[in-house]
Amino acid sequence: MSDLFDFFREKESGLHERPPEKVWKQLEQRLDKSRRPRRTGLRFLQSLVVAIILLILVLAAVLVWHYSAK
Amino acid sequence: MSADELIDGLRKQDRKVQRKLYELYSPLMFSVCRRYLWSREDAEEALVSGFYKVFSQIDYYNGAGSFEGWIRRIMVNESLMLLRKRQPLHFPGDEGEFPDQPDSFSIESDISAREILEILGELPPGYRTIFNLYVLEGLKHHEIGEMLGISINTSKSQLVLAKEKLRKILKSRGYV
Repeated sequence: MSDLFDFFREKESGLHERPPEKVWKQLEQRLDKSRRPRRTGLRFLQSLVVAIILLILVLAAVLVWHYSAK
Repeated sequence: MSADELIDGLRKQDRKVQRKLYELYSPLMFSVCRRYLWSREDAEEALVSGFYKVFSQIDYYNGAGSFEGWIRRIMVNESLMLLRKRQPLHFPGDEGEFPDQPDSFSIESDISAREILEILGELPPGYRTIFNLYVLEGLKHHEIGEMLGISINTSKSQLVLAKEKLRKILKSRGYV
């Protein structure tokens, strides 16, 4: 004789099952994705700083050339 | 590797340690998700979301209570969220007083794990959810009520109805 709830409690450990490998791959993709924006954001910021410095240098060169030509 | 070393590695987002934890707990957590979500695909989705949360929110684990229990609670929450997304939970039946009476009867003990899952899968989602939370997670009716936004009496009545339904299913399959 067994209580119905106890029966299911006893059987629970038998339900353990290794998930398919694709589940870990999906998890890894999600973990990689959550890291990428930070790297992409940093890279974008670095590129922006370089572009601004280059623009300032070009503008300065144009101004120097303009006034020296006068 | 000790539990502290494992948690330390997870805090550093070490992928090898994440994989180790996954290897250690995924069979148990997959079975937790499968008990709530009948569909295998949904259980896999809940497992991915659950482990993602474990890894990304590891700093919220403060060491109070077992680590396994913390992971398990996350898996249950993820499964319930997905279950509600698929279909709103209904709790049909009487909300009157239902006494918690233990009953005893003979059950064939050589039921396979697959059959157990099939039997649980035959329960309506509302019954199955209460059954899982009360019987297998060990929550009290007031905790279930808070978790699902239902009254204590509804939780109790759903459990009694789930038990009745399980008894019928087991009988129809010749296990009782």
